[in-house]
Amino acid sequence: MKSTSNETGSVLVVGGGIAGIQASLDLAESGYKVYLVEKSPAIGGTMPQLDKTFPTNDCSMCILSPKLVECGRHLNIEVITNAEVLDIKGQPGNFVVSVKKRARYVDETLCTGCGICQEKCPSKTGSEFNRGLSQRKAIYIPYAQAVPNVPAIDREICIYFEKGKCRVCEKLCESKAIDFTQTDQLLEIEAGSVILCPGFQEFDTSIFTHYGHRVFPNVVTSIEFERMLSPSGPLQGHLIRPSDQKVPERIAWIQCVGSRDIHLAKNAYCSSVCCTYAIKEAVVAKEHCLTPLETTIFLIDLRTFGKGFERYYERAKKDHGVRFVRARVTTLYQESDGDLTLRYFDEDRIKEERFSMVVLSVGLRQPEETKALAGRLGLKLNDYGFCETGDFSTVAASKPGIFTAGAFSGPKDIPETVMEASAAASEASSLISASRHSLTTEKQYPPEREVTGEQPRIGVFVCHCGINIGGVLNVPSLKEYARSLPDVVFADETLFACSQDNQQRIKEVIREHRLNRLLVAACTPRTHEPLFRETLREAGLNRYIFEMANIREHCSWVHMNEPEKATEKARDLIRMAVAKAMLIEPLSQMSLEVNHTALVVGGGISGMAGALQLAKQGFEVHLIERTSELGGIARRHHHTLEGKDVQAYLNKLIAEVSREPLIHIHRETEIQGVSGHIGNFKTALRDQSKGEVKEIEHGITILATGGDVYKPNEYLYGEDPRVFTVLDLNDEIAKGNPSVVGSKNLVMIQCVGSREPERLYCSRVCCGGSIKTALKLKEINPEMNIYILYRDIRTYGFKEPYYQEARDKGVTFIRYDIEDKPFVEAVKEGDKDVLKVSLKDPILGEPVFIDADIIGLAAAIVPASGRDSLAQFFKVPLNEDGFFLEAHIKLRPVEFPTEGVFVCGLAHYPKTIEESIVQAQAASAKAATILSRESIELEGNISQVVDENCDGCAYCVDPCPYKAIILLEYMREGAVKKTVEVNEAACKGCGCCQATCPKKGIFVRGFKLEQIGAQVDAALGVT
Amino acid sequence: MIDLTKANHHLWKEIMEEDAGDIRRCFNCGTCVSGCPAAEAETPLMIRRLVRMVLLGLEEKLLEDGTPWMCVTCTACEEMCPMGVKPFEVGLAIRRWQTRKDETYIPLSTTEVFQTGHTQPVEKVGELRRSLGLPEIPPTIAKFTELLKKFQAMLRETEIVKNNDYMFKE
Amino acid sequence: MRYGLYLGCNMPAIRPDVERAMRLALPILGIELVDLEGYACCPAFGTFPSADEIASLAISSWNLSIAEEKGVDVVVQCGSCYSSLRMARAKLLKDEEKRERVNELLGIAGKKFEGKPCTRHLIDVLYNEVGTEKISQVIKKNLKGLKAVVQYPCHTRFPSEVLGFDNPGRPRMLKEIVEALGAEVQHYSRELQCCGGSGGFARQAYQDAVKFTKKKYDAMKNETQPDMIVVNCITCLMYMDKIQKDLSKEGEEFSIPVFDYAQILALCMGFDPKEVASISVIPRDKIIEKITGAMS
Ligand code: SF4
Ligand code: SF4
Repeated sequence: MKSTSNETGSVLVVGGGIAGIQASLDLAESGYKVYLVEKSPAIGGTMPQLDKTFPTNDCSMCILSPKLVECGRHLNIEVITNAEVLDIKGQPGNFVVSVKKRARYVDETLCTGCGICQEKCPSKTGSEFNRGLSQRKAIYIPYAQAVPNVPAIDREICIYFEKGKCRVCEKLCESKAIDFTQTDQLLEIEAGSVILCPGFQEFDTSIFTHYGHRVFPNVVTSIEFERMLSPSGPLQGHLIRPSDQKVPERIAWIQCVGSRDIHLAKNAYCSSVCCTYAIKEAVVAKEHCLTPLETTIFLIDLRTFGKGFERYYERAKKDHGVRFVRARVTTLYQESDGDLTLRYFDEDRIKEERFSMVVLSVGLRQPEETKALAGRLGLKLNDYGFCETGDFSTVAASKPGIFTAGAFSGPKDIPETVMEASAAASEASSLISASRHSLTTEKQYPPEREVTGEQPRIGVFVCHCGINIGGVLNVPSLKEYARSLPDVVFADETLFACSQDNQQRIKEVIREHRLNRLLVAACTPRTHEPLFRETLREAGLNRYIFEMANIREHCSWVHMNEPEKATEKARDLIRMAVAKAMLIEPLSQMSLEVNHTALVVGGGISGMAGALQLAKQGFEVHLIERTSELGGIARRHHHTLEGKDVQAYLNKLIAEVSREPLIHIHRETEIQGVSGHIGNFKTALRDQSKGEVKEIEHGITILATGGDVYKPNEYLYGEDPRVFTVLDLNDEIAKGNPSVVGSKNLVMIQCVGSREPERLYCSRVCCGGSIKTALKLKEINPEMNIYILYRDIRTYGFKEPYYQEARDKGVTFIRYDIEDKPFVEAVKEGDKDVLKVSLKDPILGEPVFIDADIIGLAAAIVPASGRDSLAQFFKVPLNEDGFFLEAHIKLRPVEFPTEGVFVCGLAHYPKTIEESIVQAQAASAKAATILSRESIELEGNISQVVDENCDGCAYCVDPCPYKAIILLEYMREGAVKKTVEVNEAACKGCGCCQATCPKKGIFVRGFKLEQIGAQVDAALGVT
Repeated sequence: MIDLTKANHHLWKEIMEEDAGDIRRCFNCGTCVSGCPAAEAETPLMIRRLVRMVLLGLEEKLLEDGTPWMCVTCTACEEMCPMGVKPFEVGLAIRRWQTRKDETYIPLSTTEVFQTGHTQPVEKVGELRRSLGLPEIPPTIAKFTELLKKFQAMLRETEIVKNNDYMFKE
Repeated sequence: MRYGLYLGCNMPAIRPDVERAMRLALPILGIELVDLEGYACCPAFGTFPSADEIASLAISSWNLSIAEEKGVDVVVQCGSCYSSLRMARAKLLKDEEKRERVNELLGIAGKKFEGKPCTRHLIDVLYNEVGTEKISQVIKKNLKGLKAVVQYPCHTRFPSEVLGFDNPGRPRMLKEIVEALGAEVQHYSRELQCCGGSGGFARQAYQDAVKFTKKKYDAMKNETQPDMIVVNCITCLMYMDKIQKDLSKEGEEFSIPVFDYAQILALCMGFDPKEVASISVIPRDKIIEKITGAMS
């Protein structure tokens, strides 16, 4: 698909956090050259500073690391660190960006990352990475797994720059990499489009003098606390408090520090992430303490509105005993032993309680320097200092050709940031899609060394994973143990096996010791196997002669309180892995041509936005809608909370989609069957109106099947005509129904069907939705008394000011507990029929009632019907609530374990229209990384038939969940021979066939019976 | 059971008069109470609850409530309220409203200030003052009868004195 | 430096020794004091502010107009006078309509409010206008060897937007001017807890107020060994002095001498304790002896 066009086939990405990294990888993978400009000496952003991530408690650095390394070594990504953008000139498609690259004073090509310089440098300052909890030198590598793993000299504190003397680093550096002659450089970079992801800063606590941060040693901010928890942090994950290095017994979190505070902090918005990160910190802190730790979170509203967050909260409460107190604390007394006494108001009385430590949940804001950057580039900022974005496109900045991702446009969590990054990548590339592949080069690997027949020479790396492993297991002894095993010719330990410098080391060791097997005893192959396989390829070996022993998830994490037994288990796992490694063989991979057409299932906003994005990039799309009309549930929305006109947008979108020649719309069409796999799907479509079935071929699938509204069976819904869902209410308002718009007293009840045991998730949009409806009603009839009964108001981000506006306009909010729900009955009040709503007002501490004329129920968002068969057709999982379950909740929010299938919109989880669009764009960006390729390589470890053994019993055919096996007959030596055949492209290597075959007639490559058997023998000690 | 429908939905305007602007911002976070000294009383001053009563329009309940008068006037609540509600001012406004509705609420000290210009008998401690080397009567309004007359004349024109003139004696 | 001296009601009537201390000590620091002849109650929050806002503002501006006539800013020791006068001025400057109504009332008495004079708290003036260095220079005796705790008047801290001069969450100015006299100022956990003496709490629920204040005194006693408590607010002074008797009823003995800053300042300048520090509940003689005996 190479083409010549006037547009520059490259994109400049500003900011090397997860957003910048993800956008860069997506772009580079779909045929664009990327310049990634980062202001600090290393990419990584905030994620490396975090300990675990919510709601899965994955180690943040661990899940980021593969991406960091991939980004660092990608041939088509040029990482420019220590640099900032000064100016952007030119037009979309042909920008010229001037970038100032500050001198690093270290030659990146010569440095080996040995670190002697930073060890011996005499000048110190507080480490930014560790938030001042530890020191760094004037020459420093910001953090252990930094990419690039090359130090930089901080001119501000370098003694040589101050006094003209020192240069100790230069004297000690064996590689002669220190270069004091370097000067700042001005680069002019040509780029077709630009993506800005400069990230965020946390609030400055100095305006909240009463919290005593930096005065009371045991009051820390949440980000400092992350560093204290982190295995790579200054405490190596052993949680002790700053004042006396004692293990804390009771920790309190204070929420909304700087957020939702228009008085002292002057911030009207909610920072969206703090509630869930506080829960995570509380849960993780308990895990980090060997002695019992009590944790208490002080909050106003608990805002666990993201996917999986509500369950996370419930688990924290029930399983981990995290205490939640609805109180805002501002009085802290520091006791003489360093404890802090917190005074708070607990519903009806003042309580004082002593804590060992206090964590301030500081919110997110935009630093002045980013605002200055926006100023230089002429970009508009919103009222809160964040980047203003387009109406329905939240990744388009106010200037064409410039896009944004991540917290630059508003506080958000990692999955949303990742989605925006992909969405921005998609937008940025659709602008220059004609120049795809014009500036990229293909990676060249050294020829593969033939190792079959060689005596195994196994190399073992045992990883400390900071203290994730090393803090529990005796890693040196494991290394010694590995060395003692047969065929192991090399064994060593490493702090982070996945770091960029260690990949270099692995390659060197392979060369030096002529290894022909590699074993890494570390974490999970799920996230890290691709990384090491790539390293093997770069070392000139087949990527499949690799084995991993998961001594983290299976040993150090689950048995953290029994270090010795855990080490014993790790020894077993290593022994088993070595036993298998002896028998592993190089595998070859099949390559398949890619069909460049996409199938998008669902004609709502998500589906249409995704389809349009793909079409803009030049791909043909089949868009399936099962009803006769495009638009989905958005047809029932009139305005967004922010006042944007949904119908106008929808009509425009429908018109665009209908006009687009590359999009084929199939209305009243459902899917009848699917075969094939990534790159080559075949899907049977049934046109319901005509009763016809036709088959289409496509390379990828996007599932955008949308959502529905829960039909309440509570609060007289369906029994009394005056009880509506809020969505119905909006229709009535639009129609001008006099009994609705003319009502005197109107009640809306939140969380109807959401956050209940049977639907343990927050529907995310209803708080904003009811407030929107209330504001609309107040606009029509300012005298109407409107009551919103809620459990927590979850107006996250920039929705918070609308909550304020609703209160300003007199909407009354009354909180209720799930144990004590409002009670609704139809009664006669005098000569009037009313709906009597009674509940307890927690502020008065007394029961109250409202004689309502109309009730609106904020009913849950549920996934649309038909998802089960789709899940089966495409072999993708659903979660317990029936939403599609993505591959990784943090870093792969639109993908599935099944390759080539993507998800977006309400099918994934309840979300707003803007969020759905972002996710649709993200899905199309991911889809484009496949559609843009001519061919894809299939996995090597898939099943293989042993024809001599197979007697054609066909036992394996049915169990195969991917329908990859067919039975056939052929003539052999004059007789009919029955056998099975595997469709290699469909096989996922799950092994069901191997498990059912009674004759050893089929096996999965890389998991042969003898290989597994060797492991079992090794486990049992049978040799 | 409190009937919210029948409450006085304009009470907040009545109580806050011209300064009604920000009281409706309250989102019940409780910060105001959390720093309030008087919240530790057996019958606590719960300023958030008072704000709530104003907003819900619970007129009768509020009129009976004596807790607004417990305020120590430290203004900590006003400092810390994230919504800029100025609960301290709300407390004072409730007191004023109560005095408007029911003159028994009028603090006697008010009449003293009217009568003497002061809450303390500054003119009656001459001996003590002289022993310290101070003039017997400090140079306040207590010393200048003419001024006190003017002061009273001025206050005569205020609503509170006009409406309750029987209480304010010269 | 010329300031109108606003004494309020309590000081000239109940603790005139503090008045005497101020009148004697401040001029030595170069502060010329001008009497605000004819001033009335600030008014205290429990009086007109609780009954009629316009009346209350009229009274405040009555007081401020006197300073305006004299062309001086106001200095005040009492926390609530400070707060009341300062908040009234801020309100009037912001709200033209109220200003007009108030000026109509003032007109009856032949006065006018323009809002020129600013009300400053004594701590503010001493720290920011005089400076700790000057204080250390002029004193003849000092508090060396004495340990003090300080009490920051709540009314000088909040609302910081309107009347703050020190760091509201971590104030330090009172501490530093006490240190300038040579005392060691000890910090304790509940240093910033309100004394509890102002307004209706202690009047309406005295026993509860005592319990509240006891926590403060317990912390003070457990964490420090103060020879004295230094305050700079008439309510703090009277209440923190008087309440110790009632605290002691609960068992433990509390008898920590309480001084106003002006009093120890005057003592360090060599003024007669009989004039500047003669009224108290908890006896202060020992400390006074120590100070008057000590040579600078
Ligand atoms: S602090 Fe402000 S917002 Fe919070 S409850 Fe009190 S008045 Fe309401
Ligand atoms: S000003 Fe009054 S209500 Fe506010 S905190 Fe102080 S005592 Fe409580």
